[in-house]
This record gives sequence, C-alpha cells and structure tokens, in this order.
Amino acid sequence: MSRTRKIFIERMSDDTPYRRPSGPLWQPAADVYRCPEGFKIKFDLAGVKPEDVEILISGDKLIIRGVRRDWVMSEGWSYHQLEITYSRFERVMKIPCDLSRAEVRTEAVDGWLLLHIDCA
Amino acid sequence: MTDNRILELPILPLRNTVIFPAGISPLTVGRPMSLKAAEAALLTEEKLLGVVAQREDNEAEPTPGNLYEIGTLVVINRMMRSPGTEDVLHLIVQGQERFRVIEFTEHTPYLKARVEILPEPAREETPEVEALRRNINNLIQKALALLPNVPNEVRSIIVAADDSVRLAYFLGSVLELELTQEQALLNASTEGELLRLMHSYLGREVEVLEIRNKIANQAQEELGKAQRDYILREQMKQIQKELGETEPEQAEAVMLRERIEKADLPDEVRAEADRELHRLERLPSAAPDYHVIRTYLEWILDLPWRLSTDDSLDLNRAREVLDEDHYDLDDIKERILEHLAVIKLNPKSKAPILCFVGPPGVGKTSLGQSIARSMGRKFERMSLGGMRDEAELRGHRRTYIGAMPGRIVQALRRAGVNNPVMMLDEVDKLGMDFRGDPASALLEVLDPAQNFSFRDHYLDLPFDLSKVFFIATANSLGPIPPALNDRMEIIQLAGYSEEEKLHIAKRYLVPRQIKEAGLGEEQLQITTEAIQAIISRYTREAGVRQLERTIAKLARRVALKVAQEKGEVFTVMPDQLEDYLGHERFFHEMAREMLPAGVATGLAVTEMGGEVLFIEATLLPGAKGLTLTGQLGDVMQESAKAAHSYLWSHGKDLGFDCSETFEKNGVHIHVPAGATPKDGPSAGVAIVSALASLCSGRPVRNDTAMTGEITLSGLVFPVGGIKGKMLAARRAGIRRVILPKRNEHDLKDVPEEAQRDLEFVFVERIDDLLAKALAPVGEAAREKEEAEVQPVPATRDLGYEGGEARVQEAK
Repeated sequence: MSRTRKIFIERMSDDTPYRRPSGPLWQPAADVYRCPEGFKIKFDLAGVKPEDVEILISGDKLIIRGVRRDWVMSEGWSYHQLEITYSRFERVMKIPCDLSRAEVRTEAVDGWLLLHIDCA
Repeated sequence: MTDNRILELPILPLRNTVIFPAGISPLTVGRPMSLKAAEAALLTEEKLLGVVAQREDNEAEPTPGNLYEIGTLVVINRMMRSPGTEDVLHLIVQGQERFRVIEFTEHTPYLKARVEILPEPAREETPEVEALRRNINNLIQKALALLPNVPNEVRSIIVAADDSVRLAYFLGSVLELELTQEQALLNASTEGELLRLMHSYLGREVEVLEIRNKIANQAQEELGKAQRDYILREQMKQIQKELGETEPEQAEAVMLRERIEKADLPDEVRAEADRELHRLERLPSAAPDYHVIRTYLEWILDLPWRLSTDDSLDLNRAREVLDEDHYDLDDIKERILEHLAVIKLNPKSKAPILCFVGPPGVGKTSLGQSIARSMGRKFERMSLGGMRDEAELRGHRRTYIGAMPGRIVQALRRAGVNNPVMMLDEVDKLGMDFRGDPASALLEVLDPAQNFSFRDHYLDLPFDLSKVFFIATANSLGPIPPALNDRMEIIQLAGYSEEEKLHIAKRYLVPRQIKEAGLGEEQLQITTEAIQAIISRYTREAGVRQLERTIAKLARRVALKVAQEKGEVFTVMPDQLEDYLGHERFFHEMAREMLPAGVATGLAVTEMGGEVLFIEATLLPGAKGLTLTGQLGDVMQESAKAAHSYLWSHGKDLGFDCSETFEKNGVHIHVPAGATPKDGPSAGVAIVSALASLCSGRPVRNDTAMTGEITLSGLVFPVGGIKGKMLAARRAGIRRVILPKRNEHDLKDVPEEAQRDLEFVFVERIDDLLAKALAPVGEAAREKEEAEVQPVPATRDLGYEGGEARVQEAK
C-alpha cells in the first residue's frame, strides 16, 4: 500500500531559516537505518493520514510535521480514557548527507511512515 | 504559517492558575460547564481546548465577563475518569499557543468562543533585553543555590534553556505567583515586556527565598541548641541517678531549707524566706524564676542579719593603734575615743556618722581603716565617686532581669557582720542625673532615725544599719547637698604643716619606702634637712602622697646604686638631692624685700595649703574706674570694688584723700601669678591696703602680710584657713601678720613654731588696719633704708626673741 503521492515534500532554499510554528508539538518516535543507498527513516505515525503529513528539507535538516486527527469518533460516543496524543506534531532531524541532492521517497506501511533517502 | 488564525473553541475556565504555552499541566475538571467543555474538546479531531483564567476564584459558574481576554490553546494529551465517579475528569494538557477571545458564541451548555491565535512574543535583540536575560540567569543561579530540593531534571531544563521566552513561561509555571502576575506574563506580547515582568518576579522570589533560608537557619540553630541542652541535662540526670544522688533541684531546695532553719534570721525575714522557698520547691529548675528565687534566698542567707563583732573597748589600746597609723589628727582620735567610751557605758548607743573633709592625701581613707582596727571592727570601703544611679546604692527591684542588691548590702555581705566601719569615699563626687539621685538615697542610709530599717529594693526587707559606723570622706563640702551634710558630723582635716610632714615622713614614709625598695634600714639615711628640702622644694601638696612618691623615687635610686654595687650605705644630704631627684620643682613666693607704694602682701589658702600672694595696684592717669586682672573670681572682684569705693568715700577720715586721685585716675589691680585662678573675700584687707598705699604714697610694710574680709562700712570680718595661711607666712619669711580680731581664737590651731616666729596684729576696722599696715607718714624713706640694711632673714633664722620684741612693739 503506497501513498507516496499524497505526501507533500517541499525543498526550501538554505537562506530562509526555518522557524518553528509557535507552540510545542508532540514528536513522533523515529528509527533511522543506514543502508547502501543512504538512509531509511521509520516514523511512528499511526493514524495519521498521508495528506496531513508534510516533509520539509532545508540544508541537512529534515523536518516532518503534520496533524494527527482523531477520525474514529462517532456521534453519541464519549471518551472514557485518552492516551494517544493528537493534534500537531513535528520532528526535526539532521541527516549526515547532502539532502538537497538526495532523492526522497515516502511509503506508509502498517502505521509506519517510511522515508527512503538516496544520497549515494 | 498559522499566524492570526481564527478558531472556534470550547472554553475551559481555570481557577487560580494560568497555563503557559509549552507548559504541560494536569487539570482536574469537576464543574458541570467545564466538564461539558472538556467533553466537547475531546470529541474534536485534534482535542483542542481553550483555557482562560477566571478573574475571581470563588464563582462556581463563571460568566464570560469574569474571564480574562487572553488564554491558552491547549491539546488534551491524556484523559482519565476517576474510578467510581463520572463527574470528575483528570486531564493532562499541553499548552500550545496564546489566543485572544474575540467573542463568546455559546454560553450553554458550555462556553464556546471564537478566538484569534496570537503570535509568540516577538524576539528582541536590544541591549536591554540582553541585560535582562543575563540578570534573570544570575537570579536563577541564586535561587537554585537556595533551593537544594529542586530535582535535577528541573535544574537541567532551566540551565540548558536557550530560549528566554520558553524559560520565562517555564518559570512562570514553576514559581508561586499570584494569578494576576501569571496573567500579566501571559498577556506580554513582546520578549522585553515578558522578561521585565519575569525579572521583577524572580527578584522578589529570590529575596523571599533568602529571608526564608535565614529564618530557617536561625530556627534550626536555636532548636539545635535547645535539643543539645536537653540531651545533656537528661544525661546528667541519668549520671546522678547512677551515683545515687537525688535530682539537683530537689537537693538544692533541701539544702536551702536546712540553711534557712539553721540561720539566725529576724522573724520577718524568716517568713519571707519560707514563702520564697515554697515557691521554689514547686518550680522546675528550668523555669526562669527558679534561679531568681534561688539567688534571692542565697542573698538572704548570706547577710549578717544579727551577726556582729564585739568592739574592743580598751581605750589605751585604741589610742595606740590610732597613733601607730597616723601622726597628729588629734581631733579625730579624740572623737573615736569618745565614741568608744560611750559604747562602753551604753552598749546600745547609735554609731556616729562622720564625714572627713580635707584635701587629697591627708589620710582620710587610711584613717578609716585604722579606726576600724582600733575598735576591732571589720572595715568596708566603697567609692561613691561618679556614682549616678540610685539603684546602684539601693539595688534593683527583683522584677528586673539580673537584679542585684545595692552596694550597701553587698558591702555588708562582704563584711559578714552588721557593724562594720563602712567608708563612703568621695561623697562629694556623687553624680546626679535623670537616672536618679544617689545622694538622696544616702539620706535614708545615713539618718540614725531611719536606718534601723533600711530597705534595699532587691531584698525588700528591713535591714538594721544603725550599728554600722559610717564614715564619709570628701575633698570639699560644696557639692554635698545640705540635707546630706546635715546628717553627718563634719570633721575638717586641714593640710599638714611642713613640720607635721617632716614627722610623718620620718615615722612612716621613709621606713615604708626603704622597705619597699628592698633596702635594709641602715642602708639609706635621709637627713632631716634633706627631708625638709624635699618637702618644700620637690612637693607642693596638702597631703603627703607626692612626698611619699618622691621618697620612693629616692629610695629606688639608692636601691639601683646598691644593686650596681656602688656602695652599701648611703646618707642623703640636702645638696645631693639634685643628683637623686633632679632640679627643684617648686618654689614659694617669698616676702619681697621692698614693697613700692601700691603693693601689699596677702595670704591665701589652696587645696595644697597656704600661699603668700601680692596685690599690686597702680594708677592709670586719665583713665576711669577699676581694672582687675590675674584670674580673679567674682567674690574677689567685688571685694576689690568695695575697697575702691570705701577709700573713695572715706578718704577724709583716714587722713589722706583718695577721692581726688580716683577721680582723675583709673586704677589697675593685678594679682600674680596670673595663670592661677583666685577667689574669695579674704584678700579684702590686702587690696584696701594696696589702694590706700597707692593714694597716700606710703608703702605697705614689707614684713607684714594680712588677711581678712572688708565691708563697705569699714569693718574687718574674719576668714578661714588661718592655720594654712600662718604656715605659708612663716615659710615666706613674713614676721608680722594682720588678722581680723575675730580670728584670734583660731590661733590655737597654729603650730607652735609658727606662733613663735610670727607677730600677730588683730584689727577690727579698716582705719585701724591701715594705721598698722602702712609705713608711718614721712618714714617711708627711712623704712626703705632699713629694709636695705636689714634684709628679711630666711624662715629658719628667725629667732624667738625677735618675734617677741616685735609683739611688744606693736602693742
């Protein structure tokens, strides 16, 4: 199941410094793998719709942000307990390769969001 | 990219707190409206909720008007219901952004509002903001140092924070701030504003922390000391138990009871002591009153309520003792013997209260000691010089902390008997100020009609002072209040004459100082002439202290020579004194060989004894009135004016006319030595003689000195200090003294040798005086020649016959 097309990847020029939007956000957990092609990054972003994710690349920084919305709710339901964090998230990572020339792909598998970075 | 978004949010009113952006805080929601707002937020996709602080805490259901305008957008991270109840929600929310309420869109079932998301406070890079950042960092360091219990995580968050806005928000949630202060932080729209607020809050917080720390430290120290004392005391108790001793306070009470039972106390005192002991027994030893009562009881027990020494009533022995210690002073010795005789006949007689008045060094204090010795009584001495506080004499009331009995009671305790000889030294030097008047307190002590029940403030029990032999001493009677003066029997001790000093030196001072210097009796001999020279040329005093010091110096010099093995036995002759003692220190005015018209010889007394002084008068042609110089006091100036006026008005009666002279000329009177202040009326006759001599041109006889007070009507009044004046006259080589008639009886005090050498002329009126003082008319020239032919011989050359002849001549 691939939803690559729906994730918007934006490359920013180096001279516009990135500023975080105000307010602290939650940070998705991430695993970073090294592989012959470059890097593979796995984000714990279950329940996040691909269209709600945004990836920004600025210099050696890779920023992933978006919103997790609770879309399971239905009329007449109410919470008994809430433990999953919703709303906006953001994660900034530094990847030791030249991201401006790298090829970046996304893939959503079983609740993970996989990022393939080819910079070899 | 999310700037100025407009959202519609359920609003949760917060009581008493504010949630800052970035802050994670737990919330407990219980109010129905709040519950509904929270539920509504949970039903949204993003779990967003607006929280706004309530202006007042107490209202259960807040209205929109009661809420602040600026709130915080939060995400609900966790939600739990309390087990068992549906009505309480526990939320953990995370602050996101600040917002401003634009309008409330719904009021029921919960508040809902359209809000405008506000941008983060604009970062600023001005020097002021930088300074604020640094100051805040300093304050944080201080605060952390004062707060040892801050968890390490919090410490590292604070220290590692690189964004001052975040840090400020974090501190805002950590510090204990008022709601209004927290809201002000939230309202701040620029970094500068935010940091300024935070700086002031933090500064205050640090101050509070410092004070709190200080207080805590002090409290801890005090507590530590109290605990330590307690532990030590408990240990002591245990040790005593082991040793088989009873508890100390009980032992003490038992001991005091025993002592009270054994003591010989008057009834009233015993009753009071028993009462206090009862109180003591019921108090724990730690009670502050315990020690007060114990000290009080000890004082009562220590005082000699009924204990007295037996007077030795052997009159001959008493006389011997008095003679051993003091030369002459017969008046006082007689007085003591009289008193002993009275005691012998009437043992209940009251002790006298004597007051010795005299110049320093005449032996007042040591006389007290030998009186005590002669009577076989204890001697106690207290110096009242400079005492200003009545309480020092009579004690402080027991209500005061550290109260003590007064000096009188303390002296009695030291004496251990109730009939000591108590010497009150320097009563004339009692001070008096707002703290009280000790002289008035002495009135009670020294009144035989009252002092049988003297009450010390501390004891508050009557003590019988009537057996105490009080002796006060003073240098002069002037400063003693009349009421006090009246209660004492005044005994004047005049200064010693040179002959008396010679005896004192030979009998007491020289042997004592030879011993002091470690010499053998044979090793130092001072000839009589040498002692006389020391008395007259190396000392000037009424007493003998300076004389004793000078002899001590001489003895030390000799001791030095002996130690240097320059000889074994030394005999000091008058001509060697210069080697031992240096140059002569004093000289006395000697009779002047020739007196020009306008100069007369007067006599004065000082504390050092008598002195000869010269009155010099001169005419000032063309000037007016009277000029007086030579440090003359008011009384002396007045007597000069009286002399001037008398001569002016009575010139005709006297045989020479002064009025014309005084009309045309001013008069200047000078009395050397100019630096020594002089006062008193006794120079009156000398002044009038000098002035009369000035107008008549007849000089005053140069062998004649005079003393006496004058009145404007021409009388001559008696004066004091005759003994000292006669001694001075003799020393100065005067042969003839003119005295007021009414001083005739004072001559019995004058030592024999002076009586022998001097011719006394008594006068009652000024005209009589002038006839005897001035050289006869026309004989001025002859007198002058005579003076040149027969210079006035030195004192000791004056022969007996010469004096006798002159007396006859004058008659």
